[in-house]
Amino acid sequence: MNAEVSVFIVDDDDSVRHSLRWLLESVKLRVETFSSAESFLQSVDTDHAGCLILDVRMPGMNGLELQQALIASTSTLPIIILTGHGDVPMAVRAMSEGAFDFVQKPFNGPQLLDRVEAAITRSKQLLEEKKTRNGLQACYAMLTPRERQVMNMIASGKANKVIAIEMGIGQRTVEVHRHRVMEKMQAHSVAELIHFYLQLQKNI
Amino acid sequence: MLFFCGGMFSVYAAPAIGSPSRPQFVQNKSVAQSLKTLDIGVLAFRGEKDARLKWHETIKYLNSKINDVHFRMQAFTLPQMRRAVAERTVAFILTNPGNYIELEAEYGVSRIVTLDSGKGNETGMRGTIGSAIVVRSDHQDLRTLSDLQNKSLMAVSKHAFGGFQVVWWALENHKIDPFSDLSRIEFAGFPQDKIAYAVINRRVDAGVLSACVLEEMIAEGKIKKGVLRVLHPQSYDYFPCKVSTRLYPDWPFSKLRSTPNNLAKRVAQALLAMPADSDASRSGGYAGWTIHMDYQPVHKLFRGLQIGPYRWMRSTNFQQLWERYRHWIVIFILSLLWGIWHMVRVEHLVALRTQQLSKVNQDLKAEMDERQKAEERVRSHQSELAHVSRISAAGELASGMAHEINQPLSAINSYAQGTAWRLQAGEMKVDELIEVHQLISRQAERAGTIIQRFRGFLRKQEIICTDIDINRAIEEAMELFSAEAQKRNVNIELHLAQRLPPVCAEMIQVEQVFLNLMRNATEAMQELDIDSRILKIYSEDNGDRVLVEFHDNGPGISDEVAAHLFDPFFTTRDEGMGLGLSISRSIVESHGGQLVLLEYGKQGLVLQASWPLYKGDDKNER
Repeated sequence: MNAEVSVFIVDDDDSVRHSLRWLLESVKLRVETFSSAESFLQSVDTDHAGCLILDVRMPGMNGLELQQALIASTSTLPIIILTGHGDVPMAVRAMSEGAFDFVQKPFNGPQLLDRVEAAITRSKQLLEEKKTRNGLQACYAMLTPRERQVMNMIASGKANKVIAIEMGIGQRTVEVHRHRVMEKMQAHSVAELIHFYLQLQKNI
Repeated sequence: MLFFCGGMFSVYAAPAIGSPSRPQFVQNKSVAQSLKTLDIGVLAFRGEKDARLKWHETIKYLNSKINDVHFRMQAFTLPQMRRAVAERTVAFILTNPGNYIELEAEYGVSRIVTLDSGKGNETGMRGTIGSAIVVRSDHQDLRTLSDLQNKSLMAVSKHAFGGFQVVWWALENHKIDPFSDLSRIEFAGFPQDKIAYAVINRRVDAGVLSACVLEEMIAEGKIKKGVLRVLHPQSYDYFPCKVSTRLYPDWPFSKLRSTPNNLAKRVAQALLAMPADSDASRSGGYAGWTIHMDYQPVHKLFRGLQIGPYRWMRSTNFQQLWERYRHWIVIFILSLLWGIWHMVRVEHLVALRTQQLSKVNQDLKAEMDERQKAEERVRSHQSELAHVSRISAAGELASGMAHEINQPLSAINSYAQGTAWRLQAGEMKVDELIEVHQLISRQAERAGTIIQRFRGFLRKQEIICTDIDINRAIEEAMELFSAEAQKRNVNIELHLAQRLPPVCAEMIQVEQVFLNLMRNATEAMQELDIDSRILKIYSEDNGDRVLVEFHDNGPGISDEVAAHLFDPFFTTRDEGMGLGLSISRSIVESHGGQLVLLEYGKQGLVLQASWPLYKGDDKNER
């Protein structure tokens, strides 16, 4: 599994990149380094498991801008912001935009490693959620408009009878739609269907 | 005799009074060794001979009555009489009323008895002195006193009482001024006989004779009766002679103030006791002596004529002045009034203007205060700004340095920690270890380099070195300093080069240097007169450096002070840290410039700051 996990390092400072690689590789983490935000975006699948260690202050595209680009591409990659002495306001902004954490230079190794591991765990989790969501969306896409309508009404907790009256169709027909929905969405219970529904709602 | 025995005036008893220094008591040894000789001054209005004839017997009479004193007669003209009284060479005087009035007022002469001419047929208590204006009987034009206008007149003397002044007063009362309304007036002097003859001989139209002189002359056969007549004749029932004027009291017999009263009393008693048929009265042509009379009419005459004791009135009679100088007085008063009005008006205007001015002045002052306060606020604000910008520049610098130094520190940390973990895992090769330690070492070096560089910046300020115009720095410093210069009454003269090539320095710091130098120069000149507190600032470009010189007029400094002038914490003043010049020098040097003391003698200090010219790209290693 670790082979699929990568720690990406984006920092314009060679020695910082090199020393971080030295640090993280010593605990058997796969490390990829980039000297600029642009080169990172070009060569990395942003839905890769792992985390991104990002220096906020860089020539060209800076850390915050890279973060915006990743959000735009619905990346799940957790970002650990590296800040210098006077960059606290930038770090605060990065956090409010959803960065996983920030670490101030000069950092100590164990602390950074702790954050990196937490980020990787989070990354896996996000990636899982994303996969599920993607599956759900594929199932949802197979529902007819009528079936989607019935699914929405089931999710809002309405009984078959109520649905039948509201839709102006027979109760039997509602039951047929309901069965189809459960089947297509691969839900084993109404509770699971409601969970899927909420998952879908998050993404839309 | 009672008087003789008890009299104050005794030859033997009163040596002080009888002292030879007193002229009136001069001893006459030829007469009698034991007797005092006292002179009696007699007015000789008809000549000394006449006077002696007339009064000889009277003096003799007195000598016979008063035994302890020998009286001697002195015949005087009017001026002689005055001098005798003034010098007190006589004890008694016998003179006419007019002369008496004068001497009474001036020398305190007092009458003791009045002559009774016997011309009055009663008590003799009435006046017997008057004047007759005589004209030729055939001179028909002359009837009244007014007819004398434009005629010629002769009198004995201007100062003769009965001989002129009485007539003068009578003429004045008829609106005739004898000195301007007559064709001619002549004073012939004594004896009066000359006047009578002059009229007869037609030398003059009219003559003034004392009362009865005409009658006497006729009686003596000197002139024939009917040749002359008296003009404007007045007749008094008790008076036998014709006169043209009113009558005044007859001659008084007077004592000088210095003559003892006792003696005067005895003389008076003797004279009053003189019988009418005595030799004295007979030869004197009088009836005797009577109680001294009232001389008020004489006074009135003198006052009217403003002569004698009333001479002073002549100069201050306002009415006369008014008559004579009416126009001038009116003009004078008008111009005086105008002057007063003008003065009052000017005063008023001045007061008004002063008030307005002082109000304007007050307003101006308030405005100036306000302006000054505003300037001070601006100044303190500006210096605050300068301070803040310096602080923030320092903060920026520190922050930049921290940021840069964090990089190698982070790297070192990572290398060290990574190495530790690898060693723990037991998978560390020796050459790897060597390599990573070299990396660590390199990062440490890098940190050191950064610090070095920042220290360099701090010293040389190359990081904020920009091409600046020194003239502008001087002007801005001047602007910041102007309020203080004004407060300390220092005149700063700028002699700046037209154009200066740029130098590489930091504006704020250069301004700081100039401010320090201005402040030092200003403080050095506080002892001087306000006029000589002049600071001259020169700037010039000598080809490869920009030079700025500060010349003050201060008292200069000693060699010893000069040697330590730029040392930190060296100061000659009580206040101040002694850092100004030290900091200024290090600032200038951080720009690659120099700050040196050129002169420090009695003419004052000359400090020179210089900077190398800005040479574009090679200015620093950034």
